[in-house]
Amino acid sequence: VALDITVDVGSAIPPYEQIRAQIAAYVDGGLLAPGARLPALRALAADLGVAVGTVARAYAELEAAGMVASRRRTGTVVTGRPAARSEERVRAAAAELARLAAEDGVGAETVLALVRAALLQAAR
Amino acid sequence: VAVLPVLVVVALAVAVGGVLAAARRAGRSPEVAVTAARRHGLTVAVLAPVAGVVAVVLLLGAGADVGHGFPGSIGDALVLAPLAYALAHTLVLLVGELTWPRPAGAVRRARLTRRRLADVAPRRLLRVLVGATAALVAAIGVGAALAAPGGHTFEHRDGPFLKEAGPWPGWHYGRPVTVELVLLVAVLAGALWVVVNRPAVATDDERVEAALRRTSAHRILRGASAGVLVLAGGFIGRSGSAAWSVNALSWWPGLLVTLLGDAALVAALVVLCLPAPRLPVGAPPVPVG
Repeated sequence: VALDITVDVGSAIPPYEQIRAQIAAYVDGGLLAPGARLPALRALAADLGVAVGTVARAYAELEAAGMVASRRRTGTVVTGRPAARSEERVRAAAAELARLAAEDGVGAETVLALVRAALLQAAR
Repeated sequence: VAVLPVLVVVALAVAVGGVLAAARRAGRSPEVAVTAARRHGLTVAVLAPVAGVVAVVLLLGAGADVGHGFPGSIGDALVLAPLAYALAHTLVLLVGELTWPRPAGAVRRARLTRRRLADVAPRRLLRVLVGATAALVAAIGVGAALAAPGGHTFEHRDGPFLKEAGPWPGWHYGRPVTVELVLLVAVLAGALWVVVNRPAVATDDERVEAALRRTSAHRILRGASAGVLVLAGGFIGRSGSAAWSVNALSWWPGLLVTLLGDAALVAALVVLCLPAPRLPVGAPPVPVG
């Protein structure tokens, strides 16, 4: 599966955090398996049109969280992270939601909007 | 020497005309970023060989203009010309890659894949370049080892006679060529690194992005390989004919080495004519050249 990273430079969320969160989600979701190699810092920064330091900070935070490891010869490699017990039910529900959306032909953007709305409602 | 400015003006006119014609041919793609990238790539691809030719013309002009700063003869300038072309060609392409259109707009997207040189550089051209470079280094080494004192002729004792033939690719020619070759390898490595790491073209068809990158690498390797092949062929061919002319080699090994050099020159022409990779079917066309 081809994975994309999207960065909105006009967003209130800093670009490094957007990058970190998306890669973390891919690792948590099992889409980036342990051993998978992340793009080189400069290449990802060039593709996104952001500073190298921005991507470096995202990678550094992922490394601090134990999700990736930087190796001299192979670059930044996913090490994986055991799923937190508290997340297991939510993960299963998310998988079920994705399956239902695919069955009913609901687009990804609509599903994400629905989830955001549900999260806002739950937070009240 | 008097025709030099005319030649430079003609070369520049050809460059401008070529760029304008190419930009017109490039047409439009539904994706703005793809159109911009194609036009940029094509413009640089037209300018690179023109820069190479201008470098050769200037070098030969300096070589013919004895006593005006160039420390050698027209023959020395001729030996330096192939790698001077390759250097100028590669430098222009390097600048083109460094100035590749950058992502614009607030929302940017990138594919989370790791690019490697092996994915980008055409293997066939890479092998040709490595082979040609090895042949050139061997020719420089053997030439330097067997050269007569002075480094630009070859001597052989044939019975009571001491025969001499030249030009011979001794250290007189090998030294400046080695400097050129080291510079070329450095610029080439830098250019290929930039091709791998430069910004991706924002397109829904990833095949277009990959093809544009492969095209860049192809153009870089094509010019450099041709330059190295011409010089390697010249050195090898000249060694064969010089050694043959003073009976250091009998007719068939002499002819074989000379023909080997000529074959390298023909191979250089073939390499120069190799078209850049085409886009996959169904994608917007990428300019060939």
